[in-house]
Amino acid sequence: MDKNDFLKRVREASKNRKVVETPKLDCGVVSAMLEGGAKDAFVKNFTSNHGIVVEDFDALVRVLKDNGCKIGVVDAKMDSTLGLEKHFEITREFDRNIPDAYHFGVSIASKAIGESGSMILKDKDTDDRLTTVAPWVHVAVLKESDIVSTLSDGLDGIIDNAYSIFIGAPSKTSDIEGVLVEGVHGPGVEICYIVK
Amino acid sequence: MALQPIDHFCETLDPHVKKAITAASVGSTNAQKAILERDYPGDKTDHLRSLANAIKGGDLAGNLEKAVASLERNGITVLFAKDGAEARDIIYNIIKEREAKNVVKIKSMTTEEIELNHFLQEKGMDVVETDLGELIIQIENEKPSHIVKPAIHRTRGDIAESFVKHNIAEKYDDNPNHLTLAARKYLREKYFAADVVVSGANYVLAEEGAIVLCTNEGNSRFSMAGAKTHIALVGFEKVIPSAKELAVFLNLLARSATGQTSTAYTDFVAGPGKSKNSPKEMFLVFLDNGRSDILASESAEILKCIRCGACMNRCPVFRLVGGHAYRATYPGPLGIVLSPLLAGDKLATLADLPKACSLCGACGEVCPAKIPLPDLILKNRDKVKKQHIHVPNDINFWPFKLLATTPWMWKSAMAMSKAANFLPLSWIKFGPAGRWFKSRTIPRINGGNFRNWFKKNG
Ligand code: SF4
Repeated sequence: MDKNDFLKRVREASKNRKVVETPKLDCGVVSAMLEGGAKDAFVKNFTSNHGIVVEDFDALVRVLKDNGCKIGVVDAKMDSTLGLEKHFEITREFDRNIPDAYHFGVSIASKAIGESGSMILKDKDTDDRLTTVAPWVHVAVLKESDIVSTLSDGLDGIIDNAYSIFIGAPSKTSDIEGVLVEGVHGPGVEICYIVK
Repeated sequence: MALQPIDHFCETLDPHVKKAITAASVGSTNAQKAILERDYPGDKTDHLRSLANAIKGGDLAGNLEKAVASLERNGITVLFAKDGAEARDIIYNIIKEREAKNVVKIKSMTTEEIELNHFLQEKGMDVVETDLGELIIQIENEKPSHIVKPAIHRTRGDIAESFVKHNIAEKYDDNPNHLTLAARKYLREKYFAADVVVSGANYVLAEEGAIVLCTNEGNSRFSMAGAKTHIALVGFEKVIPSAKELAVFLNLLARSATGQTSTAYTDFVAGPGKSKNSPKEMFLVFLDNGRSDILASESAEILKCIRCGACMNRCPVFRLVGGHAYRATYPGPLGIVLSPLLAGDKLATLADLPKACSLCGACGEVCPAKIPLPDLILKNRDKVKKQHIHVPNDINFWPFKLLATTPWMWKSAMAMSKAANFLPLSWIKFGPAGRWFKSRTIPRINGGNFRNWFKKNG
């Protein structure tokens, strides 16, 4: 259908409809999930959805080893490999011909939200989406100062690039008799590594 | 007097399936109530619902025009389909022009509405649903029985058998963990082989020109990492003013759908991908398919639906029969309103649905978009009546009307009403009354004294 005809049709259909002015949003939108500061709320809410938060390098290495990780891919947009190469076999390119060869992927979290316990990943800070979605374990490296308080704060400027995502938990489903299973497509283990 | 189709369905439904549907629905309603009371105590939930209703009651036509301009500005090719047939052709042609064959789908009720999978498969394409629940029903050629939990009617045993039959699992194993891992392995190959990803959208942001997808499984991100072309099919009513207003809906959707604070993944797609593995072109097809007629009608409120499924979880009829009983894409109270409206001039085929309701009003109380579902159901009943469409079990109410509008008759009936307590109603085994009393009892009649009381005290 022609664009103008389509839009005209919707315009015509709306003709007799009382239009409500878009309401001003107030603090009533914020849930009780935002207790304590932004960081405390993020840690509490992310971990309550089975995300893992680590705040020092040794703890990160330990969690990765505990999850059987040996080979990892560190996204090319990351400035460094964080020293992970001392403990694991690391590459900087995800080869889609061997997607299951990587036990973990590391990438940048552009922001995180306290209220919803979500990390925000953006394409502008990610070289390859596959690094974040294909390995069983995903680590997002987050600067503590990039944690915002409310969902509204997180949504502010969210469309400053072609693709962003909120990640609040491992990839999960309860489609089979309501039983929760993690790791249905993407990471079964979702780690946020908070750095100063 | 014939049974309603939904009653027929209920009578033949496997008791295990019935039990599973009831348990899942009741569980979801309880989870919704608990999480909203915890996170939005007092009247805050109601305030949030009112905001959702008001935002969706804004200038939809204006927002749509703005959305089209913003989407195009972001490099998205925006196309328009007046009905399902046109949408199917548009999508097929995009795929064909790219000589593509492998399509992965991200769960979308709108693509279900236009029966896209079937159409593309008939044209020789390999179309795979990547949401686990959708995959489970797709391989058995079924339709979703719930808009959020499409495989709510399938047991783990059914799924295990079906996975072996369709080479998703090597051997029978009904452990949900193992079944899910078998699907993970199977779908990985599909993601990497995919040429095209087809999605719907939970919201379209007019100001920013982006679509928003909410999933728990993360199949959206994986699909949009594997394929080269992204096609989104979206009902135009999904447009909201901007990302600012989205906070209201994100706070309501997951809590109402699954009792979670938020879905595990929320994707914001504002054009072709810039990172290495991402779709390099994006199309958005806006679908009408009867929506503009609904917008112009007295039932326009139903277009505010955010597809959370709370109304069906709460519905006493849905809890007994599940979604397939409604013979249309959208089941439950939402479906009772929307499906007959979308049917247009084929209303007669679904005219019985508005009667599949006890008018208890519970759906309206749980709807996060504050849609007055019971009123809209009554409007559909009225429409069916005005069009003189006969539906099975259409009880003629003229005797009651006569009774209720003739004061002396009503007074005498009230005086005699207690006699009904002594009638052996459960002995009636045949005819409409027999069917009625098979699964229902009536409470003891204790009233009838109000007039006397009022004479003395009024
Ligand atoms: S009608 Fe309301 S409760 Fe039902 S699915 Fe839509 S938004 Fe949810």
